[in-house]
Amino acid sequence: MIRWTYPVLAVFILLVLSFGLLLTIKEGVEVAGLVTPDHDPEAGRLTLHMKNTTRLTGGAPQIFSQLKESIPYEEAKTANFVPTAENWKGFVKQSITADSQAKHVIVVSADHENALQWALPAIFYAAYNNSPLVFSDELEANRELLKGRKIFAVESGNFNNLEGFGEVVEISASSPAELAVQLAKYRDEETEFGWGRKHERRNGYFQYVLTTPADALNGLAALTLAKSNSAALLYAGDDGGLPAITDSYIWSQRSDWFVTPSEGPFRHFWVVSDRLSYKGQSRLDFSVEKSPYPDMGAVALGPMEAIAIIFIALGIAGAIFVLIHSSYTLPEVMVPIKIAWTLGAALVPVLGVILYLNAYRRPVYFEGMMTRWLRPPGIQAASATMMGFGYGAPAMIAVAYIFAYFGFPIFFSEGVNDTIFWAGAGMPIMMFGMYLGALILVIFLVQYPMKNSMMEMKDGMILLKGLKVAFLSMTAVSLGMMTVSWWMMMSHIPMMPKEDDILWFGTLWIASFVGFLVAWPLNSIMIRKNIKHGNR
Amino acid sequence: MGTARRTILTALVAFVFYSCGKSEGPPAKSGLPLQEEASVTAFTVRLPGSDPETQAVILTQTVYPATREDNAVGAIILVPQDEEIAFTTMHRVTHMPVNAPMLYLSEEGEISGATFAEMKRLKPDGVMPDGRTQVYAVNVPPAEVARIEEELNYKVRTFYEENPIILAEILDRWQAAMKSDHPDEVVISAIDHPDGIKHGMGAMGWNAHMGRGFAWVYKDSVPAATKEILRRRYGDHGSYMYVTGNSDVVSDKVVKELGRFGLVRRVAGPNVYASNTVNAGYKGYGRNFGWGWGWTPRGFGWGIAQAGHNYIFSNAENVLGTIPAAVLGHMGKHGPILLVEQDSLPDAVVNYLEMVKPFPANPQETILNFGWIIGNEEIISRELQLEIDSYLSPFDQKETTSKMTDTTDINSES
Repeated sequence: MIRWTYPVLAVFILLVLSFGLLLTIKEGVEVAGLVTPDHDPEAGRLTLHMKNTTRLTGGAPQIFSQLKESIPYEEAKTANFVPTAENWKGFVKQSITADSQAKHVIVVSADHENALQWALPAIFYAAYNNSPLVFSDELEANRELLKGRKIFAVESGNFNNLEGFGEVVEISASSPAELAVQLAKYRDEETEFGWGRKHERRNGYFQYVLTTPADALNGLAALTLAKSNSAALLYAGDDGGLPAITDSYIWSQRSDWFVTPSEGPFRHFWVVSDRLSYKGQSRLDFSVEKSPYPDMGAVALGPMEAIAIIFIALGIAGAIFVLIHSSYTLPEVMVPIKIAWTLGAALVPVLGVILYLNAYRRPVYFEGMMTRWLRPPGIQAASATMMGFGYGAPAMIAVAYIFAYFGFPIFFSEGVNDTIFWAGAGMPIMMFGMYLGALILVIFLVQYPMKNSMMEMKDGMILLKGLKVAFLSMTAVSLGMMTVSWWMMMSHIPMMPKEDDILWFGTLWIASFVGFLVAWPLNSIMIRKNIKHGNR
Repeated sequence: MGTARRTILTALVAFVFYSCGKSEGPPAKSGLPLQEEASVTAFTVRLPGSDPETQAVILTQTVYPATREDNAVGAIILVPQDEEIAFTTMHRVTHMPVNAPMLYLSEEGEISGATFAEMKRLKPDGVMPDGRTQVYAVNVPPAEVARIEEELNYKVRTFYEENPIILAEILDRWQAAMKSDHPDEVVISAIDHPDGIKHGMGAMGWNAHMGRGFAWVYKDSVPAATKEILRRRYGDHGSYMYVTGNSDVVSDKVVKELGRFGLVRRVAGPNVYASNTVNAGYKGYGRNFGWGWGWTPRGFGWGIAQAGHNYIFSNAENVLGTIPAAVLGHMGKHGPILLVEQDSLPDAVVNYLEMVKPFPANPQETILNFGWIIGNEEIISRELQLEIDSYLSPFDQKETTSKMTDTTDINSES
């Protein structure tokens, strides 16, 4: 009796799929995987502009003069002098034209060393919206302005001096970066305060100026962009990276497309600090690259990706349950059958576990020394389906992954052109390859040894019987699996997913599920014709 | 058991931390050679190439930071500085799933140091539906191909065909094998008209953006290779052909002959500038293919007639610099190519930009346009960049600083 082939196939499948899924996770979470000591993608660059990120170099004087010349619009004018550590308060006052009809007043601090860092995000909104802005050491002088208006105090946390000035909303955070993100998201509709740029607002043309706390003056020098480009302010870290809070926010700002990526809106960054690293800027640039609605690209999570992840996670959890449960409670079930149920349950989330429990919570009887379960026809068919599906479907995914990892071969000579051009096309070749590859694996590593252990026949006859069962089982599964995977990859998902996209796995996982549903009634016929058995 | 669990957990946590990496790092390099020339305005950024080779490198650097697989290229296109070959190749190769920008050989037909370094920097992932090909080399000398394979260890697919008409047919066959389909929409441009490429520049940008078909015609006849391309289409009307240029560029006789292969439309204006603004606003939609239970509609062209989009502004005479710029319509903000003069906006472009000018539309933000300026100030002047910016801006149009074109009749030929 041959026993080693089943675990060998199972381990092969497990290794290939684990490798694929782990690589997908790694590439999904990595920041700059291509940057290595041997590969510096910053080397040789001629400019630092990127498709979604414009970079202005130099200090506050250079940035100010550059933007003054480049943005001549009256509507975007700021104070006519370079902001410095000494005069920045005056710069702000001259740059903001307060709207007398405004329903809110912004209060910021100017009386401590890092005051500008904390005030800058609010200054950007005030400049854009023409909001009245008052410094906290000038409250008394502005009592009339504050009267009857909702006060938004945007500071590092000390709001004591605002007592007695009316309704005050305190907006504070543990760092300037966190405060900037808070303000970017915040919206008080009643008084029209705050950018309100949350993830849910998909239709906005949002732009951002990005500096670091130490380079807050650079940000102030770029204040004109708040007026011309409706730019909100965000902070990078002084260490050249993106703080977690900023990083998380920018990914929420990636916009999606439904028809073509040329549809709006677009998001854009203006980087005005030399401290930001190349890796940080590249991440900014990539975070707002438009993506199709279902998958939203790497790192960002699209709705269809979320469905795929839940589907796969439920499948893996089900497989673990079946493996442990069958190991402890079903000693009379042969290992190859347990493996089939385990692998099958992985690809048929929830339903696989339900069918497994349904199949074995049944009265038993004996055929000689062998335990059998008394099952109704539908569960017999499901059980028989699982025997072929459990090995066949994951083997097909594993072979497909190997194809995708190394790339599909294609042929396009004049001889195979025209009506049969598809015979040389990558997708059909891959589908045929995954079917054939998995069929060979299943015949030699599953069906032949299984028949060998159950029947006393010549090797040739056993092989023929194994071939017949494997062919019928896998063809039945393939009917649903191939159709759905073709439809999803070539038609439904706007961009054909690659083998390191979770949607690639999700597509094949869901296609397998459908393959099982298609094969189930077909297995019912095979049981009636005594080609397969459903009571083991 | 407990120790094993701890070990596995530690290994998993270590794996995740190792995988994530970090964005912290030294400040970005200063003293970049062309940063000063890459002038900006509120709504435009200049990519200041002075020659086609440099322009192509700036474009790849702008679009592909190459710090991770997802912002690096799928492959690289390498072609000689030949307008017809480059135009044909950009039409058919750039779009997904290939995801390839274009780089040029030097005028001597070699890979220059800067281009070779850029090829190394780009680190292509390889095209999954084409055996992980990393470089598409069209008419590149074998010695240079060998250099790429040996020194960069990239997988190269070569195409050797000096005749652009036949090259289009070969690329059509290759694309069909890769996508298991022949896209039924086919852009048609004139190869023997001096402005044939310029009239079709915007449509080439659409193909770099959406990956449809392309074929050449002569002004007065249809070549055999093009007939072969058109015969392969099985849409409900056969092919859906979009001829770039008016009857002076592609004759009515040719259009009638093309009509035997399907439905023909012109994407054309009275001059090269107008042909490209028509292209930017053009949308051909409707029937493509139906089979009872399912159907596929046709949707050709940008169809942009409102604010909130991106444009690629390039000098009409800078053909080799404009072709690789179509990659800006493939990634980033995407958008059509508009042709201009060195220091003036043609009337057709002014009319178009007036139509798509933004306006304040929301209390929390404004609909915004964006524009790329292709070439240094000798190719498109700074004054014109500022003028373009004023048209793209949401602010009221003020008196412009650069001189307007003296063409007053938009129907006149340039």
